[in-house]
Amino acid sequence: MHDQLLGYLLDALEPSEQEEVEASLSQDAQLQEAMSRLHEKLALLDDGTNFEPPPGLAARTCQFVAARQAVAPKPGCAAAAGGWRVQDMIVGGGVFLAACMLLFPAIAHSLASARISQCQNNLRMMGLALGQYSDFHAGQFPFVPQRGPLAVAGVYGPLLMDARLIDDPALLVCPTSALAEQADEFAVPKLKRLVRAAAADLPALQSRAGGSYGYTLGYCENGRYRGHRNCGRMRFALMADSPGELANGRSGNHEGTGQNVLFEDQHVAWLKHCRVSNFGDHIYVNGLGYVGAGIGRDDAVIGDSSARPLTVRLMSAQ
Amino acid sequence: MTDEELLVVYRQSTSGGQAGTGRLAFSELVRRYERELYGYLRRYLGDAVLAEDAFQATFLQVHLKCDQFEEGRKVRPWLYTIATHQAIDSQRRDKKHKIMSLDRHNQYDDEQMGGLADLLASDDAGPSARLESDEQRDWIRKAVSELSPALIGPVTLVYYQGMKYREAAEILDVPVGTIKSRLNAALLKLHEAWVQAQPSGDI
Repeated sequence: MHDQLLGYLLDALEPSEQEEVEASLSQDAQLQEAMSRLHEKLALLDDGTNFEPPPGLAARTCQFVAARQAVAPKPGCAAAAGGWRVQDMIVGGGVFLAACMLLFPAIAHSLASARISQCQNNLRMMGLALGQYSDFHAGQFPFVPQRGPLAVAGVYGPLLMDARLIDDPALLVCPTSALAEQADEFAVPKLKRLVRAAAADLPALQSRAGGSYGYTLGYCENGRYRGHRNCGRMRFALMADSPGELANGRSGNHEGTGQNVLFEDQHVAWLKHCRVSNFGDHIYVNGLGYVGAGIGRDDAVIGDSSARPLTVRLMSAQ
Repeated sequence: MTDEELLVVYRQSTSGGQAGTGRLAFSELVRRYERELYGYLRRYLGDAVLAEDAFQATFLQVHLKCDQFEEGRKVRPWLYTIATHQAIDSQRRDKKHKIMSLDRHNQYDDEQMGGLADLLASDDAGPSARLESDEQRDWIRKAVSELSPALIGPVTLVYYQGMKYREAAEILDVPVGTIKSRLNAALLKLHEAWVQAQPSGDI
């Protein structure tokens, strides 16, 4: 048992071993004495130092790796040497066709799953960016103002891009949305452009700002309109596939079968319906049943890129 | 998002996926391990410049070897394994590394290392009451950094990084028993060095 004492003191044993040592210690005075002496000698490792990384180490490391990506391509990408004969191509083509016919349903299903998965990855990345944004803004998520050219849910896109928290507009495009067909040309308008846009151009820019995802509008409390703060709530929807115009209220992405939702604690879930649970919050409308500001801090309302945080009825109700 | 999911996203981006997404995932991974891994390397190498170089080299290896990461494994021990290899390489390259070290008579031979029994048999007064001043803390830092690579790995992982024996054994690719015996040996060496460093009659 003596040889386990050091591991016990360092909490390096497995739980079952830890319990065995504890049981022995409670009955063996010599073992307790040995542990006490060993504990004193452990002070030889305690230098009271906690080494902090130099400022900017993470950023320098990312630059270091990025600079070498270009000059040190990853191994294993070389094309296979040699070519195919005609007979090989005929046999190979036949096998390929037969496999396609057998596997077509499975392929279609796995393609849909892959797109859901890709969409979830986009939302996870957005979750990281939104988390970092709130870190830099005293816990406040991107704010959708009540008035002005920026008063649409899609303003989160230009805010995150201008803050350089995301650098790839493709993150704002769900692979199953209509926007995916022109994903290569898709660009998020700059904040300056939105602010200075002519009245005729503004609606088109606002509808593009949030891509094919929706973002939560602010909420009303005590007669005031406010933005949401990052409280890490696991059932508060922060973003989701953009709401559609289908009768069942689901997103138009994913062919109306459901939607991916990013929650405030940064987890992403696939919801077939629009409520967080059977009787939970409806993610696309507020407590009064329309698209506008939430009726309290826990009322998430995911608006599409052009959605405005209407508060008129709320203000009069309160 | 877990570390494993971040690495998978990055791996997909390097094989033709979305580059921006991959960069974001990679930078998040670096940020998460900045403090922890730098602290490990700083202690392992005993030098801030070498530690920063090894930290950067570790994540370059993550980029180059992310295809080799096996599904189902945890990223943390994998990163520590890479970081340990980088630290060992760094020590080999470092011409200024101290030739004189506490274990200059023993070359990583666990059989020759003292055990816990030797340490417990010592009747010298414990150092805890004496280790109060900055000078004494400096002595500990220096003594630990001069332990041999075979000893400093287990000491850093288990004592300073708070890992289980099992985790340290996985990272260093040695049996759990070897981790235990090397920790005992490291503590015994530090104790011997401490006793020798005291003025005679002061122990």
